[in-house]
Amino acid sequence: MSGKEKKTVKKKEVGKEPEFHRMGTVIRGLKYLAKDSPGILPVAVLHALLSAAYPYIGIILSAAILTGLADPGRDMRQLFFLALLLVVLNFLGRRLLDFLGQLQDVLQYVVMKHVDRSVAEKAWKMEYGMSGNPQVNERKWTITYYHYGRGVVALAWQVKNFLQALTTIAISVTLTAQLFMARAVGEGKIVAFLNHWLAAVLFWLFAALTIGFTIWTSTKVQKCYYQMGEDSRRPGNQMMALLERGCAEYTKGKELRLFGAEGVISRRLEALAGEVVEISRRVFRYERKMTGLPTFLSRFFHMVVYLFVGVKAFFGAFGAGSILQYTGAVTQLGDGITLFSEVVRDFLQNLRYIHDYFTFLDLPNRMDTGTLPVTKQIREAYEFTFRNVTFTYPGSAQPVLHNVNCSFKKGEKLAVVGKNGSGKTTFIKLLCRLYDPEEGEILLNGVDIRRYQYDQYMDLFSTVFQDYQIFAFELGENVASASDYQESLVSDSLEFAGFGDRLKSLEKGLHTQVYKYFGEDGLELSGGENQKVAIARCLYKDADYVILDEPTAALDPVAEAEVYQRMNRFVKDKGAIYISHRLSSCHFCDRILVFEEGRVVENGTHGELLEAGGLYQKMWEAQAQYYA
Amino acid sequence: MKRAKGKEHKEQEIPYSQASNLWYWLRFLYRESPGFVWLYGLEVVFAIAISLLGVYLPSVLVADITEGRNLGMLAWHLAWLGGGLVCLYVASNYVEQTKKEKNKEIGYRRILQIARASMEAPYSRIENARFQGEFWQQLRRNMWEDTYTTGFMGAFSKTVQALIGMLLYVGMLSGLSPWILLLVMAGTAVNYIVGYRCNQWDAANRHKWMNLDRKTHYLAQELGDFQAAKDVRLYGMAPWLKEMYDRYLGQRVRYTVRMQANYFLESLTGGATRMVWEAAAYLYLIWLVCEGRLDAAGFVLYFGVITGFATWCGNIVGGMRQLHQNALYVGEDRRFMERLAREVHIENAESEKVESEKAGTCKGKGTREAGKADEACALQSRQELVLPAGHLPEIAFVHVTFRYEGEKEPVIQDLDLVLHPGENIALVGCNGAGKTTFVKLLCGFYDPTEGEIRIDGVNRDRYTRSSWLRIFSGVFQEVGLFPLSLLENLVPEGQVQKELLDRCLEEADLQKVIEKLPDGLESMLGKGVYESAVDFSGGETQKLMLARALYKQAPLLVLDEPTAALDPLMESQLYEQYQQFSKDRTTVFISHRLASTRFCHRVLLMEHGRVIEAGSHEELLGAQGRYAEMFQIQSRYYRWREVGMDGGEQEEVGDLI
Repeated sequence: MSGKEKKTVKKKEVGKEPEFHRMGTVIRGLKYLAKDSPGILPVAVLHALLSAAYPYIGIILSAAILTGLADPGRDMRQLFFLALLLVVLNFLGRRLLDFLGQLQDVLQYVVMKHVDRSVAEKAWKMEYGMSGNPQVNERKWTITYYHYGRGVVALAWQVKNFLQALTTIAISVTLTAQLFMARAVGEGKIVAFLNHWLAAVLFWLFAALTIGFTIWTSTKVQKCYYQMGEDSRRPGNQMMALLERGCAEYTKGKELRLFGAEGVISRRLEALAGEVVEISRRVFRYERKMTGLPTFLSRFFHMVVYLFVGVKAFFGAFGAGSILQYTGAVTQLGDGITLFSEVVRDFLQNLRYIHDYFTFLDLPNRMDTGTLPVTKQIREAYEFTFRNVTFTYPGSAQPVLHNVNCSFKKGEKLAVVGKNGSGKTTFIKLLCRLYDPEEGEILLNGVDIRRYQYDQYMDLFSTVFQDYQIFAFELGENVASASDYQESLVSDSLEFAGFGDRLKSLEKGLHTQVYKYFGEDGLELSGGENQKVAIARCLYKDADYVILDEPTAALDPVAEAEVYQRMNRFVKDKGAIYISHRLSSCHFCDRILVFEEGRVVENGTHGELLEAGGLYQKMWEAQAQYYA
Repeated sequence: MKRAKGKEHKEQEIPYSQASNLWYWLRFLYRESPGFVWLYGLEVVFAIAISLLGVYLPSVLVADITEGRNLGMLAWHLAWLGGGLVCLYVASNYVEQTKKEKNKEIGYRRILQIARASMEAPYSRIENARFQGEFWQQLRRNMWEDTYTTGFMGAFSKTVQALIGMLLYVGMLSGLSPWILLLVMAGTAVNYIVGYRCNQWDAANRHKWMNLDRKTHYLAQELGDFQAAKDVRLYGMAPWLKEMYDRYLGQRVRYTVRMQANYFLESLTGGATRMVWEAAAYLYLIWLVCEGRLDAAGFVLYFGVITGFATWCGNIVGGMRQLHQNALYVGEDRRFMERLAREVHIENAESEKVESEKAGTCKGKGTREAGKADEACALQSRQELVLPAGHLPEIAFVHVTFRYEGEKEPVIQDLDLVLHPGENIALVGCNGAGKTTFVKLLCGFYDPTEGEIRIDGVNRDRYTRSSWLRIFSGVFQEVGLFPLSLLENLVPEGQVQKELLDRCLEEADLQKVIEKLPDGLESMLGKGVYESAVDFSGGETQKLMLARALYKQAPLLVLDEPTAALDPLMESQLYEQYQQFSKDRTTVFISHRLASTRFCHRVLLMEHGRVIEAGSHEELLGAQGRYAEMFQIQSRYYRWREVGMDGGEQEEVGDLI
């Protein structure tokens, strides 16, 4: 099964990859955070300091209580005071800590959503061609998939953890210093050893070894996890696609059952799931193997600490109460160092993600470079000219359009016909600047369309594409592409598109939610109704140039005739392009362009082309014979 | 309003009891992987042992020092207490890591089970938005959230640990005043009540922010997708989308803040109750020491035990809450799978039961189990439909009415119709006339609400659905291709007959397209899924679906708008071929292109779920009815060459409508 897919070959990234500077990335990340959420860094600093200091309330005070208790001349009232102080300070500290933690969570959540939004905004605005690019999509996917645990959001808590680790280490080192300064009392080799500088050195050597080893293994395991993420991405993606298109999408359910595809999909899913499970099994087993020894060492070290502290206390270096303080401080030190190493590792790893994010945001939009305004004069009298336009889809070997030349102007209705795959849709995609020509140019009143301001140029067109999309917004929003709209205008457009009766039957009218994504009361539209809404949207925009790509494929003859008639009235003084396989629609057009294999092979009126006896005539006859 | 009836049906499903859900799932997990369940048994033992040793160690140490025992004693105590702890930690780490592996295995196995159940379920069960939502939810819980594996077992083990631990610690504290324990328990109760309140608010409002999350997700993901990219750009939607995103985010953050306020309230009460019992415990224990009834080591031990006891109390509450939540999740999973598995419509369940009771083979008294048995029984008694080779069956609709679940208006009304063997039928009508529903009924994707469909005079319900599907082939409106290879799409059932396949590809005019592909039939479909996937145009996709339909060689062929995306030459070619491949079959051809009717023996014109005109093309034209009118509208412009090129006639069309 898996032999069918080619090994993934990493291709060159899109465009020029900006260089990766660690320092620059960090600074930009911090600046981004400070700008997006001014409170987040101060809160992180406060949170860090308090997190580091908090455990010592308990460590120090409980040690003091125990020391007092072990002292035969204990003072109960003083002990009561210490206990109450401990309890109250614990309470206050914990609450403040919780509060800061929650505050940071909320701020991080908002930053995360802003990251999500900025990625989306980029996706809405980037070059059309780029949004179909798998590499760009993969990067986008990675950013949004990890947007909480990695990237700029992670940077916020890494700042906190970093400071916390440093503070913890500083405090615990100060506290443990006394452990070695306090001298054991008595005779014998053990006492001599305890007081010798070598004891401290050995102690710290062991500590360093344990911590170092733990960090080393966890880094290796982390790397392995990262690799697991990479390795399982392909089978994971394929599995999700199969689950989506094979199981979840009910529109495909008919074919699935009719042609008995359950077996093959099931087997493929099994194989892919097996792959994913196997990849993770390897990692989990590796982790199990690798974490055994570090767990042993760090726990063993704890015991050594107990032993060392205990023996020293035994020889009267300090009281029993201090056992708690010193073991606590050593534990804290270990935790601090581990946290430090983790945060450094995560931080370094995370830089890649931050860099990826900024790279994505920085993707250039080569479409949006024009500066000329589309003036009123242009809109009142325009002419489009295709001059030697050739175009090849990215990743494809053969051009879809070859040296296309033609021109059309305001008030002219153009029909574009041709066989499937002859380049008709590509032709209008170029006109609408979804793509730019590879060779040649498209002129608007003699000026290359790339030189006009992108938004203003796009405003020239009202379009219905073959694969138009109606979204899960309110019906009125879909038509108006806005939340604030003039209801009467929208209703008129829907009426005009033949959706009027259906609109009247809707309880909530224009405010009816389309589709059931967000609730059972959503409106499911049939293919024909969908098309009518798309047409209404096109009418509502009321732009100067109208482009209709197979706008009536899903409509019945009566609705089709209606739509064409009304459209004709609508485009009366505008320019328009119709693409249709139903050649009867050419009836409304002044001129017909016939495409074949990416070239314009015929260009003329219906009558002329029928006379000419070329492809158009052939197509016309093929269709008209049934209606004679 | 319209949906009310459907909702009643949903509520009729008897919810399972929590205990039954927990038991059911525990059994499921044990069946899937006994080792996984046993690991949690080990975890319970380890956790309690670790907690015990952890409490004893410092206390013993303090005792050794304050009481001035010898050094060997101290070393010995440390050796066995500390050594035990080290071993326990290492062992429990091993258990922890092993759990991850099993967890993944079980989760993915369940996903496969869900996928299989979805694919094997009757079409009518999955053709709704609800199914899709639930499908992804179940998948998510299995794949990422580990709800049904580690989540479920974790809740179990936490509760069991806490129960055992609590009993143990109560025993250890028996020498102390019971008031301390009562204080801890009272605190736990207060925490529970506050937590419960907060949870209730959470549960009552969750759907609101979930919906907001779905909306922002939709804006970011679906609208940011390539498929939406064209419309987003052409209609300059970006600023508006951002504005919507911000609006939803603003609402969402308000909920987040409210939720955090709740958490803070919980933290505040938790902290306050802890402050109370901690203070009480300290003062009490200090008092005991000062009175000389306890030594320093005892103080350390008892304080540790009280703290441990409080932790167990909290864990019992937390564990129970988790168990409760998990029981709900399991209930959802069970119902989801059951709904998929149930073959018979809920509406028909009653009558089925009566029938089977009459037959005396199955007995049931309306309980869930009995109901299931009835259905199973009804299903078992179904036979395989086997047609002799070359036999074309006669299919009859007898007073068939069909209504979508929860809708008042029927889509098909009292339809009486016979498809004669070998007959080629054209089905025409306006959008929404019920053509597609008719096809779904015919193929067996839906069952009639009233009336029956007979095959060679026998009620279809006698036959199994899968054997019924075997006699049909078809091309439907939506793109029904899968992210598999071309060959797997064309011949999903495997066992490729090369010659037949070549012929079908030829007939669908695909041979040339496929020859051009570097991987030929092994090319993968699904752009964005496979690195080198092929991307077919609308027309090519339609041809591919046609080739697949032809390859199946079923006695009945249904074509629902197969020419919508084809160019005129291809369309005309298809009509001509249609005559050929419909020769030895019964066919139903649905199209808005009335040209298609020419090649059919009989034209049926549907309107509002009824057949209002039937006859040959010529007959219907002669009848001057609705069909003639529609044909007139569509053919008008094709005869325009004769009429002459005059735009002025548009208005006349309007009169016709």
